[in-house]
Amino acid sequence: MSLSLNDGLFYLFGVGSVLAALAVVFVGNPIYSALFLAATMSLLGALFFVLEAYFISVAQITVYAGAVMVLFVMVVMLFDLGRSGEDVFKISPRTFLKIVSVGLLCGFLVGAGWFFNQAESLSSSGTKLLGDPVPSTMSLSRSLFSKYVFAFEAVGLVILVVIVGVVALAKTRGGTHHSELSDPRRG
Amino acid sequence: LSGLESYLSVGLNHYLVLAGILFSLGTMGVLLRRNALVILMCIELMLNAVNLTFVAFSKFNGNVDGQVMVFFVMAIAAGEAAVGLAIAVAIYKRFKEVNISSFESLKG
Repeated sequence: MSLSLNDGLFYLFGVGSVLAALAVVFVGNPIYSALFLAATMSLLGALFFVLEAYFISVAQITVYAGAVMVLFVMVVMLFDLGRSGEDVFKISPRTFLKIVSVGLLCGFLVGAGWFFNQAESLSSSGTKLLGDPVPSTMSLSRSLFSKYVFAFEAVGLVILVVIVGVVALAKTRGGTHHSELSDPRRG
Repeated sequence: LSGLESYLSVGLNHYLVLAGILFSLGTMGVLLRRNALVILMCIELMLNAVNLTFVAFSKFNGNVDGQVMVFFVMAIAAGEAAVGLAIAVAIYKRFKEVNISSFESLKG
């Protein structure tokens, strides 16, 4: 078997998204983190396109790279945090412990992903390939509005609660520690 | 060389490995960074890694349910970002910075 175009696109977008995610974590400036996160989201949207999940791909770019990232960048600009750098690697035993534990988690996840055997798990769980060999946008919307219609409405309710909560939070003046107002703590 | 090609030709495992790497990077960001905004961004990164596994399983099983779950995860993640940013705004109004250690002073 030879490598196809889809394989090449997977490696291109996959390596790009990992590099952008590394930059999100290790760039000290929040505005650059936000921009690299937008790049990661867009590359993952491209990967969804390679996986033939066209609706999810477009929704990913619209919702994440569009709406959510604009929200983040707006907050960074509002507070003028663009100049507040941060040394990501503080040399301490705690940092070392964190990196080691994340390395263990990474090894576990990557090992589980690499040695996952799809044929065995499918035969044991008894999942069958249903209808379309490739899920399409039409089958997605059919499933969303028939089988998952209750969950869909519940998500609408959750978003309503989120709107009310965000408005309530935005009306607070930040914390309720009136006794400490004279000297705000700077953690 | 043909053995190498069989490793390189992309299957479900490659997507799972990529999602694992992205999830671990998000975890590392949550643990290492002190800026609350960047921690929220890293949580979004972790959610996206999970979305990638959902879509990959959906493709390789020929089942659309995974993509429905991605839709719900996206909706919840957008709401979570909105609430998290509102809390960060409240923190900034009070302490003039969004360091995560300021959060222990929130109550009420």
